[in-house]
Amino acid sequence: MDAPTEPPSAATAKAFTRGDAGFLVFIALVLVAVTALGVLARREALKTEGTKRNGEQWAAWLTQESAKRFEPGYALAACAGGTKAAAAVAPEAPENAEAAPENAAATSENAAPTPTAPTIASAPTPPKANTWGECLAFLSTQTEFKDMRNPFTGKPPVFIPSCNPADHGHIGSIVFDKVTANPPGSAVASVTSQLLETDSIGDKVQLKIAVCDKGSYAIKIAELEF
Amino acid sequence: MDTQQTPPVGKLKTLSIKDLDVKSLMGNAVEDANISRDLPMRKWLYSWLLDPTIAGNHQKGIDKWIGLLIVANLFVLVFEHVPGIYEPNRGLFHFFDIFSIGIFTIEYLMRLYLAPEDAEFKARKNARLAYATSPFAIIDFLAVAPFYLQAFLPVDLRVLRALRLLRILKLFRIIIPAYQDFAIKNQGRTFRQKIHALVFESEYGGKLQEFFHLFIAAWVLISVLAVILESVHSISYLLNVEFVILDSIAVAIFTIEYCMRLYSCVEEPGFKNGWAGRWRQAKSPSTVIDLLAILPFFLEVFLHHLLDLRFLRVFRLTRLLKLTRGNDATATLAKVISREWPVIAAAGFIMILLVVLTASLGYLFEYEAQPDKFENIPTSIYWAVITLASVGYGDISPVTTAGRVMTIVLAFIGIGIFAIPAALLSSAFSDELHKEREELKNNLYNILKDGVIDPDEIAIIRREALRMHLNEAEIKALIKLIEHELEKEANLKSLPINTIAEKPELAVEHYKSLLSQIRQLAMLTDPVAFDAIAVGKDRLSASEAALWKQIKG
Repeated sequence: MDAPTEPPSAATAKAFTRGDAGFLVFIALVLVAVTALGVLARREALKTEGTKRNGEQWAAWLTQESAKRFEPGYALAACAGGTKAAAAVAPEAPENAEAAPENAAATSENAAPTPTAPTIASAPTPPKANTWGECLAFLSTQTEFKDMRNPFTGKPPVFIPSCNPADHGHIGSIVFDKVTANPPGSAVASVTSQLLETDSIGDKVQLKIAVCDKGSYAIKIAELEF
Repeated sequence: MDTQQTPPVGKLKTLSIKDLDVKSLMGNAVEDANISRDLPMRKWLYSWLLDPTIAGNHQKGIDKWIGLLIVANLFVLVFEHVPGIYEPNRGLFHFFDIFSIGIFTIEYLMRLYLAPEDAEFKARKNARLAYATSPFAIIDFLAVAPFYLQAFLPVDLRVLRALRLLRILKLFRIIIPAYQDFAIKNQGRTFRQKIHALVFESEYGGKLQEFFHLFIAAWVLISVLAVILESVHSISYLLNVEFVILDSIAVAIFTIEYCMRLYSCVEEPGFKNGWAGRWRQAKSPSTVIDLLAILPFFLEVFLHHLLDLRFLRVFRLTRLLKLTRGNDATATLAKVISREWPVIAAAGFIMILLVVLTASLGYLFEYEAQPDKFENIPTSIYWAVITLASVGYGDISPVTTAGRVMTIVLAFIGIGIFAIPAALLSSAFSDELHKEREELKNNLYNILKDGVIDPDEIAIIRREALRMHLNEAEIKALIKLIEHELEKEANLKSLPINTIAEKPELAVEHYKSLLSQIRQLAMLTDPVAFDAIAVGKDRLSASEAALWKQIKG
């Protein structure tokens, strides 16, 4: 990029100067750089897509199991609906309701869910429903979800209460919210609140699934009944 | 962006004022294609549909619609790769494909049939074969061939889609002639001058520069549309990756344009000083806008952990400002604001004063009654602005008697004070337009004075009419007015001054004519040099200088 050339009439002006060649090289470099950045941006976008697929996988599974889990003899006892059979709770279940996931899983696997068994009816422990924490812990460790990875970190996705753009640790995380319907006539039809680990899943639960994108903003995946 | 250009001066003919047709002057006369009905069918068809040398036939229209269909095909090709769009609309896509193929096939067959009439091929032994083997015809053939190929051979859908990309090559039919014209216009010019001709408006740009501007404008619109659609969850959910790719392409295009502008700006008058010229160009508002258009992309890539990504994405909307380049209406508005800036600043100062006073009084009267709403003066400012600007959301309102009385008074004052800048701008804008029209009138006056309008003058009139958005009727009215004034002036000039003075109506007309001459003088002379001589060398008295300033406006 040198000094300005004279108007076209200047017979001495060279049609293509070294400065022009330099400019073309510069343009080529710019093009290569922007392309490389574009590829980088696409890779990042694909990570966001991967995060969305994670959320969709959860949504698909929860939707699919929504009706089944209320059926008697449901295989995944930790996520079963209704109340836990007393027999299933009394002898083997840990005393603490918020038991470790391993324990919860073991409980559900070892105890055959036989709600009508006579021994249960005579047990003194009141009927108890599964909690979301037990179900989540079981699913995250004992099912295909254990292989799920956060595309941004390569580690298993973290379940967080909400995406916070100020916290970049939330990128690629999954958010489960509980949607509670308000009484008819309310100004707002429903209220969304954090789904706590202690929340019961004995009855049908309205869930909202979201994932955190590259900027730690929430991307809504689905609203479903579990 | 003003991409319309006046036609080349060389093609215009000198017009006489006596039988002046405004339609021809403005270049709006509908030319009837002079094609004889007695011509043989093939010749007649060629003359109507494809002959580029006959003005008023359908050749330009056909080229335009074919060009648009090619661009539409390009978009369809992109959308076909998005399952979320393609799958639900498979039928529509197929219909569009068949429609396009139909049109392109008709076009190809028509050109093949009419090739013996084309000056380029008619001298050859086998005109149709010569046409079929010409580069453009091969491109046309490749654009339709894959579709028919699949009817006979089992072609993979992906291969078919890739082959369909060949349709884009049809755009060369439009681009190559524009490039050839550009090459002729820039023969003997340096590489940098050619780059300059491509990106800056100049007499060397021609159609290619027009296409370049259209291309940039199209990408501005596409990328802005993408930013808007990205905010729609259902769309961005499906097309997130496509939006990223699209943004990267847009940034690559805008970055290259930015570099080309900075590199070749030294060919612009006023920037001819190597790096200093480029720095001056880089600081100019339009180039700053160009930089803002590409900056968010680079910031997002490098500083995404520091900056809010949603803000950066919305910031990409500044690309829309790129369309204001060369827009005269924007330039006029900027001129008006800079001219009226002292008054606007004064009005702004009064507004700020009033807002602060109102907020303070609101706080004083209402704090005790509504401590949650009038918590302090800064929070009361919101209420003050909403009240003074007559918006009145009603979410915060005074409840005390003193507060309500004050609000009544302030609402009245607010209407007046807040209206001042709007009224100022509106009146200044109108003044500016009036001034520009006066200028055009004076130009027309000078042009029409000699009774003929030469091609250069026609080009000036068309350019000015385009710039000021004047239609034929307005130009006609202006010309009539000038003709009338010329007539009166001719009559007045023939009379001695004492005769004019005897008749007040003649005296008034003479006075108006003299004023008009002074205004013309003011427009044509160098104002700085004039002031230096008139005031600096005491050639005009203070009252004469003041009168001069008043008349010239």
